Amino acid sequence: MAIKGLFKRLSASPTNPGKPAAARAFDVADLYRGPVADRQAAVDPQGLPLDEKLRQAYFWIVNTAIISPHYDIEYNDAPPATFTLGDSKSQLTLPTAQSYSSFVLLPLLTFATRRKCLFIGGPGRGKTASAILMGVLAGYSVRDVKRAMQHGQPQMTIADLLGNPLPSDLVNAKSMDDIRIAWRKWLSQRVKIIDEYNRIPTRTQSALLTVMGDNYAELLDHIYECPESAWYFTANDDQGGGTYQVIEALRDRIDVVVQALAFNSRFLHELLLRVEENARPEELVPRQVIFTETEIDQLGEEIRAVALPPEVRRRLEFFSSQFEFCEVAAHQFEYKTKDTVRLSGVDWLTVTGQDTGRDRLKDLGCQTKNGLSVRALMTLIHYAKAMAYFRGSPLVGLDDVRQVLPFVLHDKLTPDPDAPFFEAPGNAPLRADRIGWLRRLFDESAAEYDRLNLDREDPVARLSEQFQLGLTGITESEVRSRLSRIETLIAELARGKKLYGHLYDDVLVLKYLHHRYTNYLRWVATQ
Amino acid sequence: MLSEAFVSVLSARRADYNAQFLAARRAAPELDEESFKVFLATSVEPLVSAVAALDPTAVVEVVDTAYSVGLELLSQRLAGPRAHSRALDNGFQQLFPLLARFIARAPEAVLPRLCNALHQLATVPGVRPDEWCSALARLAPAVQSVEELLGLGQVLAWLAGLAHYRSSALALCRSLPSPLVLNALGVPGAALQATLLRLEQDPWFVPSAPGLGFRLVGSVGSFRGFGGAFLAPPQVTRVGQELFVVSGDDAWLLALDAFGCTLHRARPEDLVGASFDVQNGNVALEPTRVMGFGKTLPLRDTGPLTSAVGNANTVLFTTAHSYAVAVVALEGSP
Repeated sequence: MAIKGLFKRLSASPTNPGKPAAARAFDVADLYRGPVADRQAAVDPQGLPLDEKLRQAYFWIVNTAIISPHYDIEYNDAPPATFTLGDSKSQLTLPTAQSYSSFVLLPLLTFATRRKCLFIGGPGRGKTASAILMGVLAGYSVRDVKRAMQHGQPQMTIADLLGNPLPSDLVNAKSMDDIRIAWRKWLSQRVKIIDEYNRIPTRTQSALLTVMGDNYAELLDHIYECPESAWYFTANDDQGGGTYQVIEALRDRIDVVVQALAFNSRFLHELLLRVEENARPEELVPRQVIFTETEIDQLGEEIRAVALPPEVRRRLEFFSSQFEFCEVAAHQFEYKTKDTVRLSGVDWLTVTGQDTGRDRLKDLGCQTKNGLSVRALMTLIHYAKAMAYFRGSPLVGLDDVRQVLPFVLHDKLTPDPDAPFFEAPGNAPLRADRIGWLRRLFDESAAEYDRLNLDREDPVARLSEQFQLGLTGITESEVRSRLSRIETLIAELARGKKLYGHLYDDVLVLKYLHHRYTNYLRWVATQ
Repeated sequence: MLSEAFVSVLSARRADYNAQFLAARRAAPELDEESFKVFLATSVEPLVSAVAALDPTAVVEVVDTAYSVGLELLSQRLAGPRAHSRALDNGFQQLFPLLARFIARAPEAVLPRLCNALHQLATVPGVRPDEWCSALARLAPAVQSVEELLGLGQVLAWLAGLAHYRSSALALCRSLPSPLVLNALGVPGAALQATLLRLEQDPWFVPSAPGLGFRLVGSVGSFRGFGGAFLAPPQVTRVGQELFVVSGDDAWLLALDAFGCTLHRARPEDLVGASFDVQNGNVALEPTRVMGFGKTLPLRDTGPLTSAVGNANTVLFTTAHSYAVAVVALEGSP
């Protein structure tokens, strides 16, 4: 009873008081809201918006279930107070707006968007416990979640993972169709947990990849279609220190990576309370924060409906354009990419050694060994929308992108540790601090975007917008005028001599536009 | 002195209750054991005795709820000997025993909500919690269900001065039994639809005193140093039909009608498109009088007018030597 009271308490007040109201509306129902939690409303939370329910779940987890006093996702609505500490002049910022703990928030956004999250960190830091909590939020009992959890181990076979053919059918069957498969129960769950996934043998990882990537399991020509699920993986070591090397395709399908941060010893009293009261928070999840299948479906729809404004999208485009370009990779323009180098197997240092024309310290693209994949960008958009939704905003803000980006790109953007940037004074710790490095990369990209004044003067964007309006009814002289404008613009860009990632993308867009207009011109001539 | 029924529940559930208390105190170290004992003996006891006399089978659930509600209230110093206000203790001692049949029926639905309502009534300046309690106690015998009681409580809260709930309370009146609503409005024999229609049209209409008309209602707010809201001499303005008061860097929306007035912090964007005129051309304002509708209302001289604004029903004005906003009710159409 006592523990119920303590651990089942939810925030009675709105979890996002700063959320701007569309219009002021006074409701007499508010008379009964106040300092005493309304137990009846809590049992039947009809009308509670799902974003509020998601926030309730978040605050219940951070306040009650997981001791994570790390507010590393910082938002500010006023200039924050900052302090410089230590010999290394570390900056401590006190955020002025509601800020969050990534270790709780990112898994929760994964739950809401039904994507894939990897927990990394040393043993005993709550990675598995957090994953179990997500299963409980989906309405499963703790026992069911624990039973469905797959524990990676070196002897794990495909049958262990997916299921077994019925032995009697194996003996009597005349064809493959006659063999019935006893599929493993976890395949049907909407929250899937793979504990210590880097201990799974390579062959079994491939079977897991099919379930992850294509959402079905295959055994003896039989197919099991899995429901849309949120996936949680745990690993003590993300850098290949497990029993088996994780295959690249599987790693690439993980959407976010979250690190379990160290326990703060000042919170030992919380542990003491749990020991004394024999409390297991995962067994005391309040009913009000448990989501039904329909609610999870609706959450996904509402998150997708959050708009990404063009000005934010443009900055994201600018950021992503920095990395794939590699000037010395090829002669032909389209193949001047890091992927060309990777596919050729040419030594990376040999390639970077030839790249002498540009300021390698200033060029953000020189900090990475690869560019961003389509999958990574789509994941980034998903999580940015989920973040904005969680904060109660109908629009994705630049801050939302900035905050989720390091966790999404953690394993997607590979730093080049030999890049001059990491040799610069004060930057050496960024070789180890992937989150800090990625956030800084985004900030520097945004600063460069501002410096180039691309919000106001972006002729390539204007030409693209003009083209998006369609070609119907455009006269031959207008097309010729546009072609001339494109050629002039390319000539202007060429005058700068130095080629950077964003210019490379712009030039390719101009080539694309030029070709589409040229084709249209040929068609117009035949009419 | 605790009743036998109360003692038996406390004894039977002693371990649970003690553990609940310890858990609550971990979360709120201010929670004081002695204060909580006093609260149980003086505030919860009358309710438990009333429930025990009415329905002994409901006592356990009522004590369970009252105990946990009490922990929440005392943790925030909202009840008990160390509370900042006596409103909630008074509610437990005087009102809740009279509502025992509803509390016994659904303690978890009724008790926390009544506590929240009392807290709100007691903390909004100018609202009359005692009037709400006495009206609820007076009308409760005619109430049939818990839902009706909670609905009546909401209508009475508006009539006790929570003017911002006016629109939604009026809408609620249409779903409650007519005799109950008419009794709450003080006009048991009137026609409900006509009365509600008139109330919807005229915020200054008082069903029990329909002829009040054009009048000086009183004043709103005062200097913050004397417990008011304003740090600097206020000025009034309006955006559409909404009336606002601006004082220094702060602004408030005024919700006001014949039963009360409440101030609500306004955001800068609320004041976009503000105007500073008196909409009704029949009203003329001078420092010592207000004229309109064939009447002259004398005013206490508090200096020259500093601002005046009016919507379709109300005129507000401020003067140089006062931190209060004067309110004039205009004549409504009968």
